[in-house]
Amino acid sequence: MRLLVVCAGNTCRSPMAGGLARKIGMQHGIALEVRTAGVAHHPNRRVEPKAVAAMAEVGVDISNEYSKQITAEDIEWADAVVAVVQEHARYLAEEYPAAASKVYRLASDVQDPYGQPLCMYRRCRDRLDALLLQLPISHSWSPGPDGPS
Amino acid sequence: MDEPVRRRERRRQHVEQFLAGAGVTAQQLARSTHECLDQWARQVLLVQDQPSANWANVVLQLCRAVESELASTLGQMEGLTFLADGALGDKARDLARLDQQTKQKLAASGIKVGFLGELQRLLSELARLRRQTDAAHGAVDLQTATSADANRARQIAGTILKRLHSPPAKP
Repeated sequence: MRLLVVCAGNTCRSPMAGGLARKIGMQHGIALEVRTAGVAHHPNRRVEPKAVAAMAEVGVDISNEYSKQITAEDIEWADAVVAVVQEHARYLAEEYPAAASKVYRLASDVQDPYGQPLCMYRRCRDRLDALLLQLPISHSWSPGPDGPS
Repeated sequence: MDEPVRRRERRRQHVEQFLAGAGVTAQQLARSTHECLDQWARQVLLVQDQPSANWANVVLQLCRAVESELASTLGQMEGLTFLADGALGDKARDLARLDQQTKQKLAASGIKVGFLGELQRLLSELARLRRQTDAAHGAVDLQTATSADANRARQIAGTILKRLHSPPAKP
């Protein structure tokens, strides 16, 4: 299964969610490929150090990830596109109508921790983890309680 | 109201609010400018309340709106056709190089020469905000911009649109 996780800058939430999804996939023996991207990325910028630190605490290394802009190729590649922000899910469904049926929002919006202390990144990480666990990531993806955006 | 219609309406309201603040009516603007402003609003809705977002595309779309309106207004006038094409920084530079004879001709046709000086300054600042790099113009990548950059671009764009559509001075 190919999972694309999307947020705003692709510096905090989506890299964290992507790392957590990989971990969940490994724990559950799911063959999972994960990409992450942003709708408003920062060229040549690495993932936020606090996001890296928060993820390192749970044994996930995202230190080599860079901010990337979402592309049509990413959308086509993915079996499921998970937006961390509701507005972004709506945008993606509108921008890529052929892919609208595979665009989901993770839940209600997950607050952007950018610029906040490390404790907020930890809180964000734990929330993302809980939300991802609610999604039945299995051989056939079916969305969580909120369903398609 | 379905979702695309609701989103379109939100963008329209955002543009309307911007134009009202600038003292310009939608009817005064070229169709292509409307399209740029709609894209601008789309980008704003994507990045607002998202501190990690890059606002560069918001700035870019506003620059495009200004370029579009310049092209369909002053860019149609003899002596100012360079405003219809090219980069913002080049337009600012060419405005600064206007000779006296051209300025006199423009003044005679109702253009405030003082406005041209102001426009040159505003376009220079807008070009700086857009960070006119080869990369930006080659559509490869934009640099990072903040919400403060986008707010300043909004102020400048509003001022330019207002000045473009204020009544000309009497010759």
